[in-house]
Amino acid sequence: MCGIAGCIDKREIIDQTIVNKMLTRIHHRGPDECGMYIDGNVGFGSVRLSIIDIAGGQQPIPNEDLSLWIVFNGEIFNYIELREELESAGHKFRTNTDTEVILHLYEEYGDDFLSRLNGQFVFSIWNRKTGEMFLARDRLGIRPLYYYFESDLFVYGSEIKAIFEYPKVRRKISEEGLAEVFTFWSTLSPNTVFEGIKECPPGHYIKFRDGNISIQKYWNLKFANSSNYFKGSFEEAIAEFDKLFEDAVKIRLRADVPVAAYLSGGIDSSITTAYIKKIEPSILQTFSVGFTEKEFDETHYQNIASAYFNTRHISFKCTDNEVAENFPNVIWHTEIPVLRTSPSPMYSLSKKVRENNIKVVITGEGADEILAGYNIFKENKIRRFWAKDPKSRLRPLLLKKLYPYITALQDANPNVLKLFFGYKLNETDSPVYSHLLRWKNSSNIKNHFNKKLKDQLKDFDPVANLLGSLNGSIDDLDPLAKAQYIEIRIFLSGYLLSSQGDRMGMANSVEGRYPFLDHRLVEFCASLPPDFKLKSLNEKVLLKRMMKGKLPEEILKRPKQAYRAPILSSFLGKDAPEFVKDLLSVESIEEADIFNPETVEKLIAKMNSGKAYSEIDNMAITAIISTQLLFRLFIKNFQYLSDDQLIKCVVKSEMNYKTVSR
Amino acid sequence: MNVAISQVEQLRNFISEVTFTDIEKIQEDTLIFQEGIFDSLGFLSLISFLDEEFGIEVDNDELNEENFESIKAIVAFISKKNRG
Repeated sequence: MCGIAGCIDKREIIDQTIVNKMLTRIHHRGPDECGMYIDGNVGFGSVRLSIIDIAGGQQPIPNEDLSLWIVFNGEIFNYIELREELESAGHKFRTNTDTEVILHLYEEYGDDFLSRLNGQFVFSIWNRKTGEMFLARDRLGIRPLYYYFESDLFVYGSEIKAIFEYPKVRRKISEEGLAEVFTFWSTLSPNTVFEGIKECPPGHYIKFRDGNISIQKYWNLKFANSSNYFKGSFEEAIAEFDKLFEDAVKIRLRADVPVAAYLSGGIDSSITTAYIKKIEPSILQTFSVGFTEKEFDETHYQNIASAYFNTRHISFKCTDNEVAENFPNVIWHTEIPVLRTSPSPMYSLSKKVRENNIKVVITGEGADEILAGYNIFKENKIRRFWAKDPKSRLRPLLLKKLYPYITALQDANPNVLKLFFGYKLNETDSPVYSHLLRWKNSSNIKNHFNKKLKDQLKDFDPVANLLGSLNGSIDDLDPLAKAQYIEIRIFLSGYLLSSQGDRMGMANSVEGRYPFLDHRLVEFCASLPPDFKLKSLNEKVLLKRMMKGKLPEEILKRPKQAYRAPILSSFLGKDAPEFVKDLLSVESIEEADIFNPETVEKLIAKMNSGKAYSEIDNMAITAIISTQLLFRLFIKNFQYLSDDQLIKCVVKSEMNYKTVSR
Repeated sequence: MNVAISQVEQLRNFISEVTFTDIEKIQEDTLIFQEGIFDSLGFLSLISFLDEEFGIEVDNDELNEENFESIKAIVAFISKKNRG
């Protein structure tokens, strides 16, 4: 795992100090070494976290005739098989890395080679012969890649902060980006919350040549519909899943350093741990985070799982105060506002992992998306069922079970439920029906925008824009597949794998690996009929059946608990850090010029009053604090690195290598 | 009539305060649930507000769309309760 950054500036000869600054900014992604390549008006490099071929894998790496140079962030898990094939085709390797495999595949197959990679990756290849820079990002967006482009300038990096080190790139928060986050929990790819900064969407590649940029899709998640579902039985589906999953875990254990696992106490991470134990029964180290606040704590289940698998288990509890204290670091790494505090404990967790000298962890993310674990899939099903008979008094009662932590719902009668969950109940033809209510709720955060922003955004409708970009493409899917598609396309990469995934791991130089997101498994699950995933209101039935007798019953049967962390007690409690007060002061709010100081003040008063406040208020306070931090860290207080802060970085060139004949 | 007008204003103010929605967006006939202005806890605080401000106790079977869909409906509901 690493971080990469680079630039092509038609009007300048690239100064290696600038590339070094870009890389120093993301040093946390790769603290083991730094290398770069400068060629006239092109410069790029990587910071490396050494995991495979520790001694020989220094980047950038050239091909045989030194015409192609690559920098790479991530892992190609099937690199051993691919290398064998390339060697038989005559390719000569300089190292034992997966990095070099990409380079030779590119040589061999041109643009079409991406479909052969199984992994989580981002890389750039500089082609000296053609003057083309080729960049690509993995199918599901596990690893990040951002860029800035204007006619004569192309700057890219694993994180936005690297791009901001390039002096010609201006820094400004995008109001439209914020409006998207305060709807979907993420921007809509390729947008970010900074003007002019775009991301390479998951499953896409970029070519930059002679001042022209082209962006192409190489993978699209295709769900089956009633005409082409998986034809086998439920048992056959389980057997196929088991086979694919075992291989997905197996190739993710490839590393020249020890691999550990996260145990959340839920079913998904217990399953990954079970398979790791099956494949490598020797020692396994596991890590967990719990909370001092009981409502959020899952320590009991984590202990059951670690005892069952007899792992060397390290767990700790995150306090309310720590959740808040982490926040400036959290937002420095997420580079986008968040609506929940959940990333913060993940930051503490990766810190703990790193303190124990572990660089790689396997985690259970992705199962909820591919096998329909989230409540939103059930909510979708219930609302659709209810919409067929809107007068029914029984149907809405099903909704109560979904949100046990919203106490107000527990006493609600059907009429009240209708008031809460009836939002656009009859619009079942909408391709985003499943998410309309959630997005409406999140959108209420925008009530706190100041007048200037509200005026500016009055005609900006994120949901309409999304519908436009979908352009009927998912209309023929079943209702569950539609909801899964939306969840995977927007929330998975835009929030879960970034703000709560890559960024929180890499902040402490820890790489996450996600067997459930092996693309073969994702594609297989997308071919299954809905009942194999969500049967009646029982989620992830395939996984539960597959693991019967192989996991503690208590874990298999426990009701799904959403991973959440404390908000009010962290930010506004008696031990809340000083910086929160400062960020929320009228002066700070006015300075950032995003929110309305009056409504913010009322929100704080409301939440401090001891009276009831809502989930929307919780999201709003988190959104406001994180946006204020974003402004402070990236706009107001951002300072270019000075020369004495730079890390040691090796400049590589053709001089360092001999050409090798094929 | 004046009483009704002041009730409308009181309710508009209250809903705006509790949901942070611009008061101009909350008109007498705005469908406050269909528009997604209220969520569950906002609604509960409305029930307490009716009790505290107008002395109206809402029975469980009165918690329905007909009585609460808009400010107009709530005002009609208050008046019905007062008459009743």
